[in-house]
Amino acid sequence: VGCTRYWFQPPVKNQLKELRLARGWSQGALADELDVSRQTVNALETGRFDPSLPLAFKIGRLFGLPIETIFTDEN
Amino acid sequence: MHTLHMTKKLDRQDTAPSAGDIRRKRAYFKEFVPAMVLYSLAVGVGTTLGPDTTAKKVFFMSATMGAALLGTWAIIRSLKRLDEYERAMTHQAMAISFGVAMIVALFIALAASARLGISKEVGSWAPFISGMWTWAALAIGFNRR
Repeated sequence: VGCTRYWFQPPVKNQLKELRLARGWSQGALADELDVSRQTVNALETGRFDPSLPLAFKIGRLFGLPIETIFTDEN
Repeated sequence: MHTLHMTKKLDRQDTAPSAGDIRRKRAYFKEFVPAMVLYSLAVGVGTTLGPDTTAKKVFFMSATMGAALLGTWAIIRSLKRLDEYERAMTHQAMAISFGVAMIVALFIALAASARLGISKEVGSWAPFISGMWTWAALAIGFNRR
């Protein structure tokens, strides 16, 4: 409950928190940049939620990095 | 000391809602609160106004139904404003509360079949109330993160 991934799905790790902290942004500030809620940023950072492709591209564009640099598949 | 202060400041900022969160919440309250005020007024006027005539019953039904529809419209508009994570959480909360309502309805039906003397009012309202409370509790729990 409260997680969008099934128990049998391997987690997708991301560098979102490190990238955000490197810029000195709060979760709320990043949420405003991405036009999502602060809870969504928190869920992304803690790995409870894997973003859709459009949101992943938006994150990539915002940090000026390709998606595969920010998100890494455990497989 | 300065670093500790900065870290604490950033932690505090992290739990603060974003400008978009505040804007969305305000928009929801702006639409939902008038509907609830209208609903309360309709119930208040309907229950205190004179004897039970057909005209009064028609007024009571249409006024409460109109206010409830306005509230539903406000809720639908707030659901449209949700992002993908919030929408997924809302769907999860709705699915779980639907399951709870079904279990309560089944329990009441079985208890009634066993002639355990469950009143008609309890039987009618318990599934709805249990479902709504579960939904509200889950929604609050998900939003606290």
